[in-house]
Amino acid sequence: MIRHIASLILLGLLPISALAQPQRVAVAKTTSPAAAFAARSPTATKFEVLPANAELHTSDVILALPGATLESKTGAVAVTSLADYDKRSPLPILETALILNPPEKDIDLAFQLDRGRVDITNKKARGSAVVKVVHREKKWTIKLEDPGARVAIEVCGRWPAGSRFKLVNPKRSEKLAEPVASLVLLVLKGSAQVEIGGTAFGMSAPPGPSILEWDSLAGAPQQPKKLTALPDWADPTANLTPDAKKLVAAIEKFRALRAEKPADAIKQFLDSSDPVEQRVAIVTLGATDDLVSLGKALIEAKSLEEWDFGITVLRHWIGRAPGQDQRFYQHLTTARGYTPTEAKIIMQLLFGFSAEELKSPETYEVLIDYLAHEKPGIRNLAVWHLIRLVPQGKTIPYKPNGTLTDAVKAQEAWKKLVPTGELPPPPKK
Amino acid sequence: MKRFTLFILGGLGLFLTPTVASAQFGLPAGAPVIVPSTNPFFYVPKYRYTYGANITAPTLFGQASIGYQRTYISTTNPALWQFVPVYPSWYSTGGSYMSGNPNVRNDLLKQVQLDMAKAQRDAGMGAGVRNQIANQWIYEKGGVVARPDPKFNPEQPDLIAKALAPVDPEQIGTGESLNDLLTAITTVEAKGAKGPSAFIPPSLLDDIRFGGSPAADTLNLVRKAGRLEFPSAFNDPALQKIRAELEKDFAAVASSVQAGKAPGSAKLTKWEATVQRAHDALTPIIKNSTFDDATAGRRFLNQMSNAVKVLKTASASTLIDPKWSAEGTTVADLVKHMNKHKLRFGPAPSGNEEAYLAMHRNLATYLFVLTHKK
Repeated sequence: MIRHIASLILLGLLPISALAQPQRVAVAKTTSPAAAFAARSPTATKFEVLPANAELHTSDVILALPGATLESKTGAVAVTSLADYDKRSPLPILETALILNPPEKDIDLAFQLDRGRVDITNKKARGSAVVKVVHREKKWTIKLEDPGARVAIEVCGRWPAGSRFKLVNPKRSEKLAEPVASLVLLVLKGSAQVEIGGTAFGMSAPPGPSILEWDSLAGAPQQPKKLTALPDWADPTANLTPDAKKLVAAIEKFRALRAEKPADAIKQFLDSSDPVEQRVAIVTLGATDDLVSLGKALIEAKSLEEWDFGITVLRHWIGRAPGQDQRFYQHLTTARGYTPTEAKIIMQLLFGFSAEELKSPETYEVLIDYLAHEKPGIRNLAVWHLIRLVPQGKTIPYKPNGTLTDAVKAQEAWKKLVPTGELPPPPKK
Repeated sequence: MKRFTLFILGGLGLFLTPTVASAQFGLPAGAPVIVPSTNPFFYVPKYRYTYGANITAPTLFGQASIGYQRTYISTTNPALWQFVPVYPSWYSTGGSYMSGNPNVRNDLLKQVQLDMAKAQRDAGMGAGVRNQIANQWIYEKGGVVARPDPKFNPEQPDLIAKALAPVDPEQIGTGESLNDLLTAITTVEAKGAKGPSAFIPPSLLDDIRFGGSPAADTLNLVRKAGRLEFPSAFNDPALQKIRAELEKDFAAVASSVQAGKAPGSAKLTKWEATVQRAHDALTPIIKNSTFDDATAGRRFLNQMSNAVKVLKTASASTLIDPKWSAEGTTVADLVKHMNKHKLRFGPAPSGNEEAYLAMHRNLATYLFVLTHKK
């Protein structure tokens, strides 16, 4: 009898124990040169740079450099990561990350698109290919009708201006506030049927119903919109400006260096005198969740531009998914030694201000007050906002790695520019 | 043995069978759930509140419930009603609006509602989520974000029709619809319309806040003399002394204004000096205050500084009508007073929503009388 009971208990416990560990199954492989991809398994803390033709597993967070391509194991579908080199894209794309899902019946490839842009192509010789893309629990089933059919999907999440940081106590099961997210799907070639939430849309490349948008506030996608021609952001590699070409070259250089010396690539690019290479390194630090190194890079920033871009990467980081703001707050209070109040100040400065707050003289007064804060992070964030809100203030000397005395001098100059109780003067035309 | 094995299997079947969550069906009743709108261009918060009583029992195939359940959908939040909690003694304090406990803090819930409504209005004004994200990107790149002027609407409906149109009670608390009525009444009166208007008692006037100008802020402050609401930054021990001085000096000035007289220059000068010292004393406190607390502290002192300037002007003696606190006033006289001093209605403080509803009714009735007189 005891053996019967024991076996029944084991029978019940087996599925539970199996569920606790996500299974890793190879469902795709890279078709790009070495170091185009990096992956982090569920149990790892760091990303591992992948060689050429590496297998890609489910449950791993996969980071793709712009231009990196993977194919499903059957070769039915190819997924290419793309960047917004010239800032033409409707959404700000800094990096692309996805998580491959386990195989499903009648689905050639399934993955969660966490952020960024991917182009999905039907590589079959005949027939349609079906891809399931998940974002924020919304499932998009995309049937690429013909061989060569191709769609682009862009996803981005941010905290809207004026959002308020609220520390959540996980023990009280409080619900997280979420950053808003926007998804754009564009049919680049051929035709596709897109199904979401039980509604299917027939779409095709222009001219025709080519573009579909979704956002986290509305919840349901609107009808596809008709386009007469592909927008200029459809092919981010076409007609590149000189700055964009520099960025393409820097990314390729980074990839090659990372393939050879994975541990040194980021440091080398951070120490580079080329601002484009510095940006590539800073984006990679944010993409790989290396907040310690990102914080160090900000403190040691050699130029205002380098530090300025680091703040942009941080804002992108906290807005890319629910819970990122909480993680960053915890990082500030545990790893960086900020008091809870100081950490909340930083979080609010990263979130930004609403239009109403920008009409209030107190917003500018407090930002100027923060210029004399003991913590460089707070005074630097205050300046980051002030030079955007009051462009005339860009001429006031300020260094992110300067001393408190230097910051107080800058504060005096700012007080003359924006007197107490008054709104800043309008920008000069 | 066979029976025992069957019993164990049956129990496992019961244990492993997914059951319906009992939170929505059992007692106490579920929390009001904010129903999302699928239309980003027009959003009226709706609340789905489910209540009922039943008995649930586990069965081999899941939970079985016998009882009744009713679902109520409304544009007003049942949590604000005094009589809604069907079993008040069973609810605990605290909780959040999504935690299933209906006994929530009304001010937090109201702020969430206002934030959501504002976000939806922003979407409706053409911003949309994509534009919100794009605007953040533009801001990061150092560009200027163009914002649509919500007041500009080339297809704005007739002023009077707009003012008299039904308004969501939640919207009235922002003061916007009261200001629409104020504008419409002023326009109609300017064309010579006259009519009887309702009486507004002192208790109702006391719950109304004004806004839109330094004179309005001064009026609000003067009416609260003796019971000033200091922002939380002033709870710091380093500010206790200056806080007491501010209250004392301000009360000396406010008493004259409340009596319908201009304040003495000596009292004004003393108060002005105290306000300046308070500004200086607040500066070191700001560094250890969150952004919201810091701006609230600065705003409070800026209002005081502006009040000094307003009370130095010739119209200071008439800013407050002494009859308001003793006798009340009529709607027509209130409109006249507000136009004289360029006052607008400000947002309702938490807990004063009913007063704003009453004021809305009074203003709407007066406008109707003016525009529909035989």
